[in-house]
Amino acid sequence: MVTRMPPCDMVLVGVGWTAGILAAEFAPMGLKVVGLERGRVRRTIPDFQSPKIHDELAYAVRLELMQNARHQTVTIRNNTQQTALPVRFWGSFLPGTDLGGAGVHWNGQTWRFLPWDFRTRSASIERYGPDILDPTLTVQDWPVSYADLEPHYDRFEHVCGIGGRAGNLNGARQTGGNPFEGPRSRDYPNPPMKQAYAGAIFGRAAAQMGYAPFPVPSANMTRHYRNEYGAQLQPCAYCGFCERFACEHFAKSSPQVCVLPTALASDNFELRTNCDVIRVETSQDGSRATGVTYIDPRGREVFQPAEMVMLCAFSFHNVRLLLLSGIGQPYDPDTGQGQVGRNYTYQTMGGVSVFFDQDVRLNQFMGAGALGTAIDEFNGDNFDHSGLGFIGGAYIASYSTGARPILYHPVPGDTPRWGLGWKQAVARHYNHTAGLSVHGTSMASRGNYLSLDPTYRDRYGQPLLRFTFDFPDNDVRMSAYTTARAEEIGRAMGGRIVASSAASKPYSVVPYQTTHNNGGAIMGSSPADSVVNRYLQSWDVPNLFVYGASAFPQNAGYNPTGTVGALTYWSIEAIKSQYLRNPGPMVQA
Amino acid sequence: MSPQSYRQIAGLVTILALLAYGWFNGPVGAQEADQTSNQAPDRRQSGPVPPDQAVEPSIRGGLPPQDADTADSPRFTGLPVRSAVAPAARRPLTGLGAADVENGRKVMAGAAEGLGPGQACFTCHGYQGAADPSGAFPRLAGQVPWYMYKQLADYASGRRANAIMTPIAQALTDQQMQDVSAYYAVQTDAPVFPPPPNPDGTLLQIGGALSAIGSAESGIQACVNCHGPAGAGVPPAYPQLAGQYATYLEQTLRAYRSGERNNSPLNIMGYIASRMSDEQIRGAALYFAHVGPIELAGSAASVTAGGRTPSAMPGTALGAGGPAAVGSGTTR
Repeated sequence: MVTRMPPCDMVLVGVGWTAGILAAEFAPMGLKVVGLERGRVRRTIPDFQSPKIHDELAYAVRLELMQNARHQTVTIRNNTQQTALPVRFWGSFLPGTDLGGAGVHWNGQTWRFLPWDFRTRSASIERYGPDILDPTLTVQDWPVSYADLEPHYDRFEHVCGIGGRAGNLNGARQTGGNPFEGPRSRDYPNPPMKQAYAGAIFGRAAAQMGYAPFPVPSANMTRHYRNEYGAQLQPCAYCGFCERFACEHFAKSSPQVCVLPTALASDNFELRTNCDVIRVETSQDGSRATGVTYIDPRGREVFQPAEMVMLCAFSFHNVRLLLLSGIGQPYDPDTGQGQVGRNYTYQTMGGVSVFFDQDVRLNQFMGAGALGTAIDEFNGDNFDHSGLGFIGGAYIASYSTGARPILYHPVPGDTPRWGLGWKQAVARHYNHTAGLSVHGTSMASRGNYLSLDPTYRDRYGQPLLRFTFDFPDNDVRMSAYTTARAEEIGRAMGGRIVASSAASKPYSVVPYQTTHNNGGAIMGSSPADSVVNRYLQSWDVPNLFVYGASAFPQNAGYNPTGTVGALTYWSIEAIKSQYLRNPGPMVQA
Repeated sequence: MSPQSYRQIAGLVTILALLAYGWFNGPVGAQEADQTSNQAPDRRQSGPVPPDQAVEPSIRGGLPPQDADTADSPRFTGLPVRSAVAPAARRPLTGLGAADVENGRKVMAGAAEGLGPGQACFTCHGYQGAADPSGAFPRLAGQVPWYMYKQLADYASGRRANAIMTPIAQALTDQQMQDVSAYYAVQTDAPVFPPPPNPDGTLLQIGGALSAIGSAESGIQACVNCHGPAGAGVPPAYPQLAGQYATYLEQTLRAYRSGERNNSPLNIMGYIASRMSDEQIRGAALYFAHVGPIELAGSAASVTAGGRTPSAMPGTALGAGGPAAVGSGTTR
């Protein structure tokens, strides 16, 4: 017996950044909006307050803000020859859960993609000829340009109160900013963070080598700030507990702080928590979504009818829901047919550790999630790729994110793994080691995709999502090249020992890399190359929209949240100006 | 059984009874100190003493033998008050380059050139920084040292304007500011003037909630986020609030709210105070006055026979640093 709820205009599946923005935009307009969050309610006060919120064991080690992998997980394999196995404890990436989603435990590094990133395929061929593309790559152009998204990047940055230094204002170069970024229509709403000592050493060395260092754009507040919704943010204290933690200071932009108060203040928005959506329901001919079915906190199966269904869960959950609902054709890597699950990409991470003498005291415990100094000379197509054998690149940054006691203990490679020698090395190097992050592009390739697992099921009896992923050779070469450039900077920083590690095959799901999972429900210019159109509207089911990084055709060498926010506002503008007046496909297939 | 055996058993029972009394009632240490010790007689209870901090090298050698403000410290008769914070070792001088505590003692006593009569620190703040029970002057004993130094520098520059303190700070050299800040920071034995008895319970609850979780309605985060568990202070920048006089705290919050004081970094306190109601200001001030100053290890009064600290009892250890600081655990 399925319980049927009264119909609404719009149902949001998952309540994090994208749903929070949608609710803040549409509920005050008069649409009846229902938000279904599988996790619990949580707010800055009382849930994120000190000292509990600095419990590194609870949050960083035992991952209390994350989806519980024992309740709901994914399976993973490197290629189709292997049998995928379930992830029992998160490693490589950390999907969030509960109100606000991963927007609560993120670091706040809020980048724009390069104009080149939206034209990856055509711009690469124009500059280098078709042979630059490895035949296994399935990269494609986005159906939107940087110029299309610019006003929406700008808006999301102003909603979040991002602190940074512009490198390009309306085409005019600005000193101290990123010289490679696309033109900004106006400056960041807030000044950049005070740079860390490690970042200053990195910046000096990079500048001496002819590069242009700049502060990483940050969602950790640099002053009091009030956004367009009236939300108040407060300055960051550089306490060093952002990644894997929630902010107790109202100092890190999050759905809770920036957008949800506006949504929740509207009588038209209803938030239901502990509601696990298991399926999007469609009409008999499959042309229209009728609503969603979820399991409520009492274990009942509930149907929520809705005029519009918005998938706002974390990227790969969106893909799984499409697959579970039978919407679109699942991707088949053998034939290349089907779109759902295609072009799953990740982030190709390299790293460099710079071990200094003991008179260099970095004090990186004074940190913040987005406290970093970066260069962009080796990202995207900012450098000549002729003869290099790959496309794409990486930004190189020195981050000071907190150096917390349990998980931060950098030691040189020849250190014993345990015992007295290890302890001595930790004590010797703890305060004298800088880490460089080499944050690389992830190109789509034919063999990397998402599908339903044939063996493992969840507690509702539904198949788990199966990842098939390994680093494409293109990305391995890219990572080797860019990590070598970072190592050169590390040496110029004056490190006594400089150790680097680039991304290499096989991809392992065990060590943490990034929670930047993208693709699988990508946006494109036709149903033959994508799941959603340029407004994130499903080609198959026009009253279904899919938000988040699942829409990225491939991933740029940046953290995705800025682009996720920009795409959301871009889609909202189209819905307001076109769809609500004339519901139906906004792009003709 | 011989009479001697009976006496031995009776003695044992007495000792056990005393220990049990201590277990349930807590203040035995303080009462015993009254009878047996020449230490300051009216110490508040301490929290549990971690073994590695139990023996703190005494710094009493550098102190005046018997200070004025110890001599007549009144008995504590108020609400159950205890230190909610585990005893710390004396403040490390984080942020002060090369401060000289002994020289700081001289500055405190008025040795700095250019200080006129009545301008020596001890005149208002006491030899050990306990000030006086009026609460008009802030308690400096054990205060975060770099914070005190910054206040002196801000007084001198006029960034924190104050008719009394500005000329005094201007008479000090930078080194003297550091030294005297260090001197007051390491005072572990200053007497405690308890807050007036029978405080308003509602206000205390408002203050306790603000301290622990803040106020969602007012958009104010918890005080402890920055000031440390139960307001213990977080060096180098965040001052200790625990045990500060309510009068001074209230006055300070009002000054922040009106903008009269605006020298906290990025005016963070100005913003927070601007969102506080009168009731919240009074509540927070009252609450922190009742948390009690941090008990510092090594004081004889906090250790009783058998090595058990009087407050190492059910309820208090769990309460340490938590929101339940007021009223949890002990009664006296």
